[in-house]
Amino acid sequence: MKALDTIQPFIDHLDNVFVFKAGKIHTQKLKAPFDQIKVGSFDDLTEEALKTLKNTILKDYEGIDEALNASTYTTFIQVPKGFESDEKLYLFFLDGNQTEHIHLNLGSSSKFNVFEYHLDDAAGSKNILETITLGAYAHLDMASLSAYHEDSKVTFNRQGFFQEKSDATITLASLGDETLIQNTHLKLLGFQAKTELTAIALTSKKQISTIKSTIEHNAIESEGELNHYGVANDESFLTFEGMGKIEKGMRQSKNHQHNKGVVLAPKARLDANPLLVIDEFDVEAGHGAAVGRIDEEQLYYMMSRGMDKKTSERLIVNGFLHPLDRYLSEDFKTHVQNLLIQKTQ
Amino acid sequence: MTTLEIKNLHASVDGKPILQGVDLVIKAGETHAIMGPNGTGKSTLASVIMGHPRYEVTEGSITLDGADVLEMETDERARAGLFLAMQAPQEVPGVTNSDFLKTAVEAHAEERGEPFKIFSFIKEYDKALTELKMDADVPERYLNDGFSGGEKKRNEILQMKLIKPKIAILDEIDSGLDVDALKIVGENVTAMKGDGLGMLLITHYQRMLSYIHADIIHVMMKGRIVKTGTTDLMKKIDEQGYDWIKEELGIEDERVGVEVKEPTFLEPDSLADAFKK
Ligand SMILES: Nc1ncnc2c1ncn2[C@@H]1O[C@H](COP(=O)(O)OP(=O)(O)OP(=O)(O)O)[C@@H](O)[C@H]1O
Ligand SMILES: [Mg+2]
Repeated sequence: MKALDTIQPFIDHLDNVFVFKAGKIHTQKLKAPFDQIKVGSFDDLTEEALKTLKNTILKDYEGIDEALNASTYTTFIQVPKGFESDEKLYLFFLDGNQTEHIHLNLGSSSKFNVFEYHLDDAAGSKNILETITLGAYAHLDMASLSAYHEDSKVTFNRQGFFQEKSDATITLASLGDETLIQNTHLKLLGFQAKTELTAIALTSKKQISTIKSTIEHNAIESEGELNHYGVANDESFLTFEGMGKIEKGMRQSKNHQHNKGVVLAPKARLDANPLLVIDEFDVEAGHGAAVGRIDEEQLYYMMSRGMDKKTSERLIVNGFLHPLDRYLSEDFKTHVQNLLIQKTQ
Repeated sequence: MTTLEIKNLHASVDGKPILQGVDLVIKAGETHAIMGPNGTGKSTLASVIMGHPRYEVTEGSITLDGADVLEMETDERARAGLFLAMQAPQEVPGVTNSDFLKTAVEAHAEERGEPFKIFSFIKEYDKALTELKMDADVPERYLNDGFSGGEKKRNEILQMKLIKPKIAILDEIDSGLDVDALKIVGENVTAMKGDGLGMLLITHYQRMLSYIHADIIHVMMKGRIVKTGTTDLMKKIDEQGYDWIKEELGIEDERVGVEVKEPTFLEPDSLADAFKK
């Protein structure tokens, strides 16, 4: 099915939505207060703004000059200072074979919920760079789903820059069949900045996925929580590399990491390599990993109530998608459920 | 009429024999109770009937209305009408009670070729929660995750109420229940008896049987049923313990696999007698 057809039924029900197709705005619907949010490409930004961006968040960004080149797609999303809504903005990114830059910038004291879905029509090679910046006291709740074609090669490079007392909850879910490299590097830059990053990945067939997530503490009393949930089926190979990094002097910071995964087939592989790099004594940090086959006793218990083995396994695997639940409307739940069924058969 | 028939059942775990010739027939409408000291094979019998993968049946048969139960997978046994309320119910974090039970009830409906009706399911679930005096947030919580001992036991009975088995085995459903909870569970189980349910209660205490009346009492030792009787047998055990049975049967150590000497088993009190009404 064409990507656009897949998402069309959802769009109809949504109030605040952008569909980007081949880097251009294809659909746009905004209701107050979302009409305050500015969305455009770099072409739409002032010289001044561009310069500021280049000198700040994009300073260390590899390949930024290419990004500013017209041959790549850039989307800049500016959430104004003090913006506040419990509603969500939905962003759909369609089409493969390109480099896509997304810059999400939350003004200070704003409160913003966003839901992204990345998908493609046909196999291709795709490179997505996304920066997420939070001003002081900004509050972000973000989910990003991706489901690409089996023969696609996809790289996500995400960076987060979080200022004083900002709070970002970010949930990433890779539900497609592509070969995937997903790097996420979140930097806690301001006093008491806080983030919770959850990365979920389901792999099947001969898929190879590497999920690298880093939370870097560059501020006093900053808090980071990292969760990896994975399910590996068939002959796929899924790797989680989670890192908590606390720089010297960043006392009273907290970093915790959890990895949880199940392997559904004898030839599937799931590795979790949690790492902590700490250069300060006065911190609280820890990590854990629980990866293995589905517990035999749990399966027996569930089957003793009449559901077959596949269904029991699927219910347990479903549990791994739980962090996503609160982001999904009913029709999305069904959609994600179908992706899950395909991947766990 | 539903009949579960167990004949000369032998089973072992990791090559260690545990069940050593169990004979038992449970018919629709009958309530049997198995009593017996710790480690004599009661839970093992329940697990073998339900098809726990750890146990290997080495001899004997189990049939449900003539169908070979030992040939069935655990889920097929459940859909054929067998239910086991476990001594230690599993915790499954990540799976909510309502998703779990809905999926189970759906599977049973499908087996019977009936449509699954979500609204009557929800109504029945709510009703069962009330009848068992369980918290309203149970459906949203993860399956038995962080449940107290008593909550887990009630949750087993709640599942049983919705699944409506033909033959139910309740393994120490009374353990971990306070007096009030025992009364509630007892009433709920007794209420299910009317529909021709056959039951096997595993318990250590007469207390339990004052809430759920049992027609036939069995005593298990050394992986076999060594004595069968009625309410009188239960009363005598409650007053005098098991020593008199061991003496009568010449058993020195009633546990499985503790071989003090080659035990000579007497046949249990005639099973057939117990069934005559
Ligand atoms: N999975 C197992 N692995 C190893 N040994 C087992 C296993 N299951 C049962 N056994 C052994 O079999 C014997 C009988 O155990 P079982 O649980 O059936 O006893 P029980 O009569 O239910 O005891 P209780 O009254 O304490 O619940 C015990 O010696 C026990 O250790
Ligand atoms: Mg037991």
